[in-house]
Amino acid sequence: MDHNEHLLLKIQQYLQGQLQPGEMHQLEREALDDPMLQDAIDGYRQAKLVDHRQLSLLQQRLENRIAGQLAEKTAFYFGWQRLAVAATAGLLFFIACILLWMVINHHQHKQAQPQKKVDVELTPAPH
Amino acid sequence: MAFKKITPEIRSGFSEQELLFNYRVSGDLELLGLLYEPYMSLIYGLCLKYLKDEAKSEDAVMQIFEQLIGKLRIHEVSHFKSWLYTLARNHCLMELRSADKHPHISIEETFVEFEHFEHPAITGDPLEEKLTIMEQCVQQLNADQQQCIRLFYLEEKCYKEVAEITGFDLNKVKSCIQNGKRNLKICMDKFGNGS
Repeated sequence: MDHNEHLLLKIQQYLQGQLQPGEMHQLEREALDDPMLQDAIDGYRQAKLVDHRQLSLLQQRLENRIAGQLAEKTAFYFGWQRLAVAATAGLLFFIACILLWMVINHHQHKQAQPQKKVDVELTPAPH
Repeated sequence: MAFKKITPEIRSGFSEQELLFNYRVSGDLELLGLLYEPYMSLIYGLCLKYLKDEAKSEDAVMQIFEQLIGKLRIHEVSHFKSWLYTLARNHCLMELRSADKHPHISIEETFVEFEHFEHPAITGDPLEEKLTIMEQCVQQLNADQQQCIRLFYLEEKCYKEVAEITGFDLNKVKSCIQNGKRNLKICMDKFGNGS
């Protein structure tokens, strides 16, 4: 039995008059020094019920809320936005590689062409 | 205090202060859950007292948790339980205010009777002095409070037994003990300050 259930059971037994006088006195003294406990006892007394099922549901809600953060975290790491950015970056890199390859290839192709021989004869200019 | 990576195995051994510190650094909701969960049944009861509605109280318990998510990353809290109590109570009062419902607070619950008296001269052993002061302060209480305080604190009777002995109803016993305790504290402080 966890802390919550134990405390709730004690409050329930207290409100139903099932505790021994010594235990009742102990809880009352504790409540006098602990306004949160006092308010909780008052609240359960007003509501005329101590519902363990209700508390279990609340604990479940809390667990779901915490699990929600973990799911968010996972979604953040592998979310579509990140994937889109990564895909765009990859595509740009690919295009850049192709352009570079084309430039290099063109340059090499140019260098590979045979050089044309041009004979130039120089004749003295007439005076 | 150094930040420690907390695994589920070592999580249960952490003190409240360590959980607070680690949550403030990491923002890990699991740590906040560990801090909040032990108080959930009390917070729910507190919300029931102020909001007087089960569904609203359940929502309030979760809304208070949502408030903690942000606040505990900013504030350095030394006494978590009292801080949480104030936060939860304020949340409920704000809820009531926003719903334009004013909480009915009975005079009996909050009214502290204040009585004037002559200060006696105090000399001798400190413990003896304190006991003398306490006895004098108890005598300053009205008859009902005096009777309830003696039965509750000195004879260690529970409210039910005090009610049976005095013939008062339980609410009156509770009110007498709460107000009597408050009055005693004021009286003792007055003597302690030597005013």
